[in-house]
Amino acid sequence: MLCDRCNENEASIHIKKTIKGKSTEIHLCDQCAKETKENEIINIPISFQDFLVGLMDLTVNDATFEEQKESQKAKTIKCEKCEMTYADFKMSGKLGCAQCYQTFKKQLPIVFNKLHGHTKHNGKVPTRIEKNMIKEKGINDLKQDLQIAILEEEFEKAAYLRDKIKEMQKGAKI
Amino acid sequence: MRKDIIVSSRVRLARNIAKHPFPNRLKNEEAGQIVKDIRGILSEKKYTYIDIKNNSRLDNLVLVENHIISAEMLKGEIDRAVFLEKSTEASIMVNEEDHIRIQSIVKGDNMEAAFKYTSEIDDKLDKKLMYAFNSEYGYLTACPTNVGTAMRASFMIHLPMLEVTNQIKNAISFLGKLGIAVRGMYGEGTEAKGSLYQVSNQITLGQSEAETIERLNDVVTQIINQEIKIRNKLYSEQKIKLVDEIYRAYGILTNAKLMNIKEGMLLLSYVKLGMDMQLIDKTFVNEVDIFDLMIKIQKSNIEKQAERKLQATERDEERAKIIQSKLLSDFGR
Repeated sequence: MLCDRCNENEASIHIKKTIKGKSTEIHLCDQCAKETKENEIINIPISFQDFLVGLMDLTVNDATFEEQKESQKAKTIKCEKCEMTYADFKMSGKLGCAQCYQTFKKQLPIVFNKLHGHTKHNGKVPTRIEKNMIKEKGINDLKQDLQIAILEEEFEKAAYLRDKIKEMQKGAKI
Repeated sequence: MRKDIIVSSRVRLARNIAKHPFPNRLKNEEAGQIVKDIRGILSEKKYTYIDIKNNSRLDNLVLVENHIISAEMLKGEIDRAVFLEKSTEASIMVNEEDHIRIQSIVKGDNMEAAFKYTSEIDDKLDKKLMYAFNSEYGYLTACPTNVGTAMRASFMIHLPMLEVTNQIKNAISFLGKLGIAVRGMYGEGTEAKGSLYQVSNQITLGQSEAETIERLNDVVTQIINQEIKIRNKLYSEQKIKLVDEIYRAYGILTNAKLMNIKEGMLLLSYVKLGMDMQLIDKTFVNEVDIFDLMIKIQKSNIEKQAERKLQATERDEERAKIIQSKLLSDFGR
């Protein structure tokens, strides 16, 4: 087994630590063990997962009584598609499938806010969604035109706009 | 100076396919199907397919050292693969933490090109695949740290003087507060060797791709200016000491018979500094690309070249030879 630190030499010192029932192992070669102070060895593997899990606990500590109750309930929520529970997510820091984002939609925005300071996407969009969004926008514009046409009693134009909207709505569903 | 300090620009996009569970919950048959589907889309000749699961361990380690795949890619048990695009050297990892990870690394200060290359491949895949996407949260990823644009942009920068003057730690903690991560040459958890740092955005939700790149660029510019400031100060106040350091490094690199990785990276970093500050003539070091050389002296690259497994001392001997063959134009004559 190679040394975790330098990935060069054979590991000769093996450290196993267990925190809250979660075990991690560190394997080091002589040289790296010497170079690494003992307290550093104990502190080495703060993985990103640990960090994320800590963050989620923090959200509970900061929370109001109501939110804490909600969080307790959340532990048992299970995704229908991939069978991931919120407790699994907390343990691994990873979601199991796209459906999980729906399943945990009450809990996730708190995590997103802590991580990104935002909860709403603002960037690139897949083409199929983009097409719908353009259509959606087009439909909304036409609806406004329709309202104006009705108010101004231009009924012929209104009828044309109504049919046009219907046609576009059909298209948008596909 | 900026163009020498920025060694490379990199963009990585994460994508998942809506109908399949993410790789951490994926059954092997389904993983295999995903690889097959993507192979169907990237069937043109310009894409080279590499089956990571059945590739030799050494070849996989070389891919990691060359930054073509991530170390995470070696840990999985399910079917996984990487596709390499020949002209741009962009890579598409399949079944890493997410189904698809598109990556482009471009030499020097050129984030626009890196973004363009990844984006083009993304558009190509987008036409054939139904991506996991939600209008609220953007592109859905296994880890909530990537959700949104699912884009990570990073500059690899060379900061020997910030390191020597111990200012790098302050810079790193300051950047953390701005949502910018700093890692070593080989990513998460690795030490910075050769004074190379990967500086990347942490925030992926709420900022557009262009904003993310712009912010990162602003921050990196600040760090580079600090590095340049120290270089200029040392140059005007202690030039002879600096030149001495650089030529000592050059002397050891071109004469040592054994070279371990740590010393090799450190000394090459000095030579790079000397070249960038024009304190050592480029023809003197054979106009070598120091960053390329830093990769060639990594463990698996050496073993691949030697075509066998090497003991530590043998490896150090090979490493010294590789460095000398590149730095000295008359090596072996």
